[in-house]
Amino acid sequence: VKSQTRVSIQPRWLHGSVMLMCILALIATACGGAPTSSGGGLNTGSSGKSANEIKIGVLATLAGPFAVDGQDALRGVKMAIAEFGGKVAGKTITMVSESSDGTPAVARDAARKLIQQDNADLMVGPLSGDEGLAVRDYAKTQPGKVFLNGSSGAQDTTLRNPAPNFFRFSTDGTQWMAGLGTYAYQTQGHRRIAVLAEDYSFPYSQVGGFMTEFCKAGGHVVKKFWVPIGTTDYSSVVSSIPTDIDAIYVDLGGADSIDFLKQYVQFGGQAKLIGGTVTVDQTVLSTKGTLSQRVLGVASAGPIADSNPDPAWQQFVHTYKTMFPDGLASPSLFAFTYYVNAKAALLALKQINGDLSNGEAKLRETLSTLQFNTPTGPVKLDHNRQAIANNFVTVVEKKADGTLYNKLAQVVSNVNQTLGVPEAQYLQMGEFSRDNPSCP
Amino acid sequence: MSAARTTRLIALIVLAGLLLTFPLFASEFFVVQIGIQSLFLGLVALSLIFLAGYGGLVSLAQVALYGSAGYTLAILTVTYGLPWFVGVGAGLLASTLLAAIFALVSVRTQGIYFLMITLAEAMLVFYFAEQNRSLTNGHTGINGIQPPTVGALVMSDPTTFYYITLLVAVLVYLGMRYMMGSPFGLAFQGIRDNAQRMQSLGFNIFAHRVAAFTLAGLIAGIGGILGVWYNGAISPGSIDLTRTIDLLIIAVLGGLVSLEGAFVGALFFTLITNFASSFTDRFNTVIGLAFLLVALFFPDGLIGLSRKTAQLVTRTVPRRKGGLEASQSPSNLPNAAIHPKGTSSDSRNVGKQFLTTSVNPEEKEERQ
Repeated sequence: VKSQTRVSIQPRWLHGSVMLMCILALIATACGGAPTSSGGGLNTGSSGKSANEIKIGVLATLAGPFAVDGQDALRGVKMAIAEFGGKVAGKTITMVSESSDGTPAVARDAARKLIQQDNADLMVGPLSGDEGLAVRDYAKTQPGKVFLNGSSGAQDTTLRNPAPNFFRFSTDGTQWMAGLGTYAYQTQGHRRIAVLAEDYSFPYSQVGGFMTEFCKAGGHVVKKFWVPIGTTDYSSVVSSIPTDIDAIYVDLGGADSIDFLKQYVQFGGQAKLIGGTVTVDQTVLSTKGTLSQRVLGVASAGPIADSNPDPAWQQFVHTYKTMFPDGLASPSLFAFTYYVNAKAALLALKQINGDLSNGEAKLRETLSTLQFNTPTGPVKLDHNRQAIANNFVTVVEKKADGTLYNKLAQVVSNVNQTLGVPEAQYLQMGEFSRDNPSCP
Repeated sequence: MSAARTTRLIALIVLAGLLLTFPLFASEFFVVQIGIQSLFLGLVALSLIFLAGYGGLVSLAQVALYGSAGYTLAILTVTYGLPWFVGVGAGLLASTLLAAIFALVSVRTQGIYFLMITLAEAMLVFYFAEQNRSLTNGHTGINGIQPPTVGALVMSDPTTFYYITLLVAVLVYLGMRYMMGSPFGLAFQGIRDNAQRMQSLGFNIFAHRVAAFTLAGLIAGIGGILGVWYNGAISPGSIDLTRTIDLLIIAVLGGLVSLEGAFVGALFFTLITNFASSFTDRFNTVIGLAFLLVALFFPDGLIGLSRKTAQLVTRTVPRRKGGLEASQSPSNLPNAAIHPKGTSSDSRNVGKQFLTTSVNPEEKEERQ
């Protein structure tokens, strides 16, 4: 037994495998080319670029649960580049994109590829909250490059421990709730509500933003239910919702939201619903079936409103539909936020005449003070390089043809990251979590 | 035979030279994202290939074990602020102990049942990480894990970290090779080939499998420590089903038949995941196609492919030049690859049988 079995582990394949490893290593290094020069990634071989070119790296989720959103995000960047005719200060703008699947580790690797291998001059992205924290940490290791957010909305990306070269011209998950707590208390007259949300950072930010206003107005959140992402059975949640409440604030995304709404109808739930930014978005509203009666009148809030009558928004929607006939019925918030961040970069590049010398110092300086009008109104940055912009409270309505949409109910102007609370006081409230804030 | 040894030696020296000088001529991106990542993924794949190829135990729990070491390190060093060596020690201990527990549950089963039980174990760890918020910080995971600085060794420096990862990978690889030749390693392979016969010879099959699975847990844990330092963070997304399947793909790409296949597979996988997206938007299709091609035509993975190529080369060259001359030429590297043929006793792999049967008739011709 011994001598025979031994053969199978002897270097019979070693020659071949050693050869193969050598070949692969050679290929790898051939692609790698020359070492990075001291200037910080001037040329690493495979993707050289001319002096008359500025390269924007875009990081979006083209795989995984947010793949559709990632596609729309790329459309947003393309719109911004097209608006400038593909050129800024005589230099051609090229776009190189990388994909992640929504996990922080993959997002970080993709960002590293864009900056260190593809030689992007600046980067726009990522799409989801936890990815944002990972890219922010990576940005700290690349001080000579400028990073702009995509649509990721975790508040701490810019509020706590920010990176000096990470700019967010889009508002965060907490800001997206501005106006909703007050609307629910004052306009809809809700006093006692329950909360149902997915158990991770983005809903923490959203619930925190909603409750900051709602509790301050005098409302009570009597019970919170936190469910894992991907929960399909809500029967235990529905059966334990208290009966003496006015409404349930629901912050679930995509399929989770649809599953809950269906079951809530089936179980004969009576309480009114309030939605988070993605709970009743277009992907949920376009679902076939018996949802429509249930979601009519559901209030929610976010950085865009489908029916915003502002000519700037209408123009944006028109351009989107013309450029992308195969796109969504209306640009999603991902297309919008990526558009805004990319446009900020291009505007700043134009102001500085495309001068990226000295570790992009001029670009950082210009971005910090940049103010411009987006399709939803003016935007400017605070001292943490976080956007101050408008937010929209919306209500689900039905069009004449029977399709559902989010009707603009209220505009909240110039929402800052701490929702009007002085920053020191806001920071003292601590990070939003399952138990914070609380007003039973 | 001596010519074969010479060529082998030369090939090894070239490979060692390439690996050692890699950071001198490659860009930082290549050192970090291709080099380091291939090495630590290769280590985890090594633990799978050891179990699957040499023990017939295709385990889906290796990524979860990798994660258990990574999480332990992250929790102890970041949450509790303990020194790194405590975290490393506890992390390796955690993955080893967890592997032992997993093994006790799973190794009495075989084939698809073993696969399903280890998958359940992997999902157990995943959901524990996802939902035990107080310990693992849920979906967001734990950020801000720094590789330590030991004296003059600043491990957060990419080149230093590359050499440390390389050293660890080489040591583990050599250790495993040595172990495969030891009585324990041979008995483990014997159990794969014929468990009943080994039992009647007096070997304790259960104990051997538990020991092997536990050892594989330790190796996956070493990969986990390096992986967490590499990423600077760990979250349930690092150990989900996608990552579990990715590791299986790496092992199959490299070839389940030899330990070094782990690193070849990992290198190929990192190259293709990083660069397929430069050529096409449908990069996942490219990865899938590459996997299909390898699985369909080269059941022994890239290692099997290279072996086959080597055989083809050595069989065509001697015909042109004359056998003796060619076998003495050092440029004819894979010449010796055909020598051990026919002495192989293992019948575990259809691909290998396919290879032998398809090659034999021609060889007879040559002999005539």
